Amino acid sequence: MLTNLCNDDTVSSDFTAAMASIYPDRVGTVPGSFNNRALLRLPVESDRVNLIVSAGGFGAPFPDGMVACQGLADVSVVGGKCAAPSAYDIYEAARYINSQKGYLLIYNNFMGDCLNNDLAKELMEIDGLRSSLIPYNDDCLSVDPSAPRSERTGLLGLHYGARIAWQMAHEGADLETLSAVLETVRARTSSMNVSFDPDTKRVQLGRGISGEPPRIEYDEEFSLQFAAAKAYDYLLADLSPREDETLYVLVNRPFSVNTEDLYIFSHAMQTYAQSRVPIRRMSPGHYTRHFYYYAFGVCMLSCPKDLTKYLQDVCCTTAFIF
Amino acid sequence: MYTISASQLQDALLHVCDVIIDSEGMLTELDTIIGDGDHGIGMKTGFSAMRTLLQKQRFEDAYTLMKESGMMLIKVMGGTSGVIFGTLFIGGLSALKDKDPVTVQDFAEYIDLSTKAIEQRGKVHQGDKTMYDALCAARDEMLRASGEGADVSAFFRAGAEGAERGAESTRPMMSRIGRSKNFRDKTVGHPDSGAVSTSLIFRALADSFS
Repeated sequence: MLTNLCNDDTVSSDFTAAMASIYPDRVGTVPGSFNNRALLRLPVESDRVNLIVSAGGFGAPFPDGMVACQGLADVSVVGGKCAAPSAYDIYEAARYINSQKGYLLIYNNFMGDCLNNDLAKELMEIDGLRSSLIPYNDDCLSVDPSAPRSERTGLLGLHYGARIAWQMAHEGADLETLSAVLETVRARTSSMNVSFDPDTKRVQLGRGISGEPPRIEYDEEFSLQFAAAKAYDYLLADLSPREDETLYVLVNRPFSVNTEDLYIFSHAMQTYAQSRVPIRRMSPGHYTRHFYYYAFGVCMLSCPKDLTKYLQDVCCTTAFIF
Repeated sequence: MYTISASQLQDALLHVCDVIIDSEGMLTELDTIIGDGDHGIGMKTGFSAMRTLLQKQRFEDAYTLMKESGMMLIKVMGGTSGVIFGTLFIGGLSALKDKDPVTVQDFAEYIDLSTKAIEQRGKVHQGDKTMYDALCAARDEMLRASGEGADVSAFFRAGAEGAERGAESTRPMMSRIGRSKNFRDKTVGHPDSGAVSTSLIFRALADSFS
């Protein structure tokens, strides 16, 4: 369970209010909102497709990373403690922005997130607002490897998807184009958790964010370098990059992992990749905070050539440099 | 008594809220074994908001009462439970439209339509080890009781007994849907927390109308 010093019942709305107060020129909340759980990127731009990211129970992905900068999302809807954001909060933010160009609803493929985004889409349709649903299913070890990709849950891939889609939306791409591009990007993204069990001295791949057992365990070597190599090999095999694609990797450090290990692990993977398929950019950072054990989240994007231009600039946020 | 007034239903819902709020610890403990431990917290959040709504305002018809109650759950809860338990309240509303008072047959149809709405929205089936197993059992018993001419008390008692039986039936099942399916064999031997919540709702209704 997450532990906060603040009041669990109001932690989400207290957080959004605090963010809006600290960065009044960058983010805001929906005036008169029922729950006050949506952070809007300012200024609101209603004349293009808007991206609404909603994911996880409060901590994933970090809303400050998503909207308090230029280039990832227009709205980040925050869930309550351990609960997916509500359909009404998603709908309410869309109604306030009132974009006639439509909305991309981006979220991780968990049941609560899917149900709430489905319902939000229905509520938006009643008001004549168009939207496309983009459930991220990049966690390659969240289900049995033989299961179809559509059954995977999401982990970190939506960061890449949101980043590419937001820039294209800013250039004026329409909802249909953006949906198609995001489906491509999503299909070329793969993620996993890499954990370290101090009792058994085993490196584990695929342990779930709620403590689900790992899919793979190794007892040969208990080191960051070994784990980085195994994670790289598995993700690379899952994606099988084509010759014209470029690799990007982000490594997430939840609260439980120290910064030193984050950078040593990321560097080890980058070094290991040099003689194989090199990584164009490695982006270690503090993207989400789930995990109650010692683990990294690793996300690999095998980016099609025509989309790499959207990843050229560095994206600096209050949470990470991406 | 063969009809239910909006006022009686509102008082019964207030009792439902109290029961769910008081059960937070037990529901959380169940969900911690085979899920992510948030069910009790979410249910308490939702039904606390519903109780506040029902204490502030008296509703004159069952349709508006159930609609506003369900929308409150959807608004404040989020998660799977917000949509599913919200749909339990609003999925069958067409059966209550312009019905005042509501007959036992109307309420049976309301529960039947809500059950079908949850099946459609959640893409859930009996045997998946969810609240749907308890709800289907409650629905079947309420349809049977209304068909046999049961009065309000017997009607809700039948629903409660069905829901409790349905919730217990989830104990030997392995989860096939939602996050708990990842816990695989570990889910066997424990009832689903959503199914238990459903049985608590129907039992609280039955106690109110006894």
